[in-house]
Amino acid sequence: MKKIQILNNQNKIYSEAIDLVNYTNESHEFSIRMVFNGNELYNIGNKELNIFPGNFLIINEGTIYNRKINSELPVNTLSILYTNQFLKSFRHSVTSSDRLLLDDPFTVPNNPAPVFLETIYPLKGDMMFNLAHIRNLFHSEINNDLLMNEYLYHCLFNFYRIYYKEILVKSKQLNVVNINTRNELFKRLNNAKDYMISNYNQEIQLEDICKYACLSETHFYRCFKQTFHCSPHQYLMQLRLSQAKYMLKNTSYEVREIVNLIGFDCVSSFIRLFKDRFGVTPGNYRLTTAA
Amino acid sequence: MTEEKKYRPARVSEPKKVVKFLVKYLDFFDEPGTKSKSADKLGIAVSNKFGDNFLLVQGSPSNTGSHNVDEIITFNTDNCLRDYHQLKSAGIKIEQIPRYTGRGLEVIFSDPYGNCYLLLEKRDYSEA
Repeated sequence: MKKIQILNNQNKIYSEAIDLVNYTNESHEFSIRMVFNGNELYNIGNKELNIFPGNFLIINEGTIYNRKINSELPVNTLSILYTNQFLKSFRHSVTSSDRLLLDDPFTVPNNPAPVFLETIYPLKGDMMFNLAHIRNLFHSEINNDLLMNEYLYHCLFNFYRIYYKEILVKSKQLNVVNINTRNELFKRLNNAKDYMISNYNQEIQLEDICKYACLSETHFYRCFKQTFHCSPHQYLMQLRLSQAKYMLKNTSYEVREIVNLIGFDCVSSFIRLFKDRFGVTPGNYRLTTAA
Repeated sequence: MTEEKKYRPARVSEPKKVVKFLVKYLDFFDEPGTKSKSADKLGIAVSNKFGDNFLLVQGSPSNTGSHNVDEIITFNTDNCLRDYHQLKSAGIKIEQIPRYTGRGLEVIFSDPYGNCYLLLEKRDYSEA
């Protein structure tokens, strides 16, 4: 089942509920992409990015990619596509002085549209709340372009804040003087992070991550800690526990099933780690969130 | 046995008109049978589905100019942007466009009688 809404300004919202599909050589406007259950696999260049609930992916305009869903149950996806004009206008409105915007309200500089790092971002905070509203409005009977654009504007605003925190701030934490070297190193660390997110429920070895990121183990380990303030192993544990938390709240899987799904071997060690991290046992967490 | 509602007193100019305003634009419901007293003044009780129960009493309007939050009547919503959009479309004066704070998303607007309101969509960031 597919649904698409094209707004008057050509921004688009696209949703799908499907269990088996393989799209190749797609290329669209700048887009924000997420799933609400299951996962969707994207191929961008030589990168394989698996999107799970709790994350979203950014794809720039013109990037060519493949995407695939292969699931027992239909996977619910949502994508928001922004036109270049909207992106440029948004950037102009948040970076220009009030005086300029008052004096010359309709001129948007003809600079290239912003280009973002195509990586997996955490879906949290206001972005998460606003996307939930977008999803509700999109699937409702209400057809209100102006309201939808209000949401889309805020969603972009929320994304800029996440981008600032996840990319601009973190890249500056790398102790590298040369800016080009720092950018390249940060890109590779992000590749490693994407690899861990995409394969969080598999048995991942440090050498696999380093190979994917094209970094030596010691170099990777040191720089990863500088950037993400935890070791790769701790990062992977956090991913698994966060996914478990999401499943406890949003699915009816038994705890032992969740333990298998997130790639843990032992139920008791999972319960102990979950309690250490969130201050509550998985069972009690489910009870309190269900109430 | 029914639980007794607790009402927050709110000083507004033109309480009767304010009730109509809140009912029309913000899904409040008035409770004409409720006789409540705040300090030594009789008030009109209004409520919404989010548990905001006000006793509107005659008084000077809250300070719209300085946005002194202590003086602004604050109530809750489950969708701030939707309500902001509806208010804007209805020509209601927006004093402060939606902004993100540590407790959620909020917008400040005023009614035609000079009273100022803060509409808050509370967000639990600990879960997000």
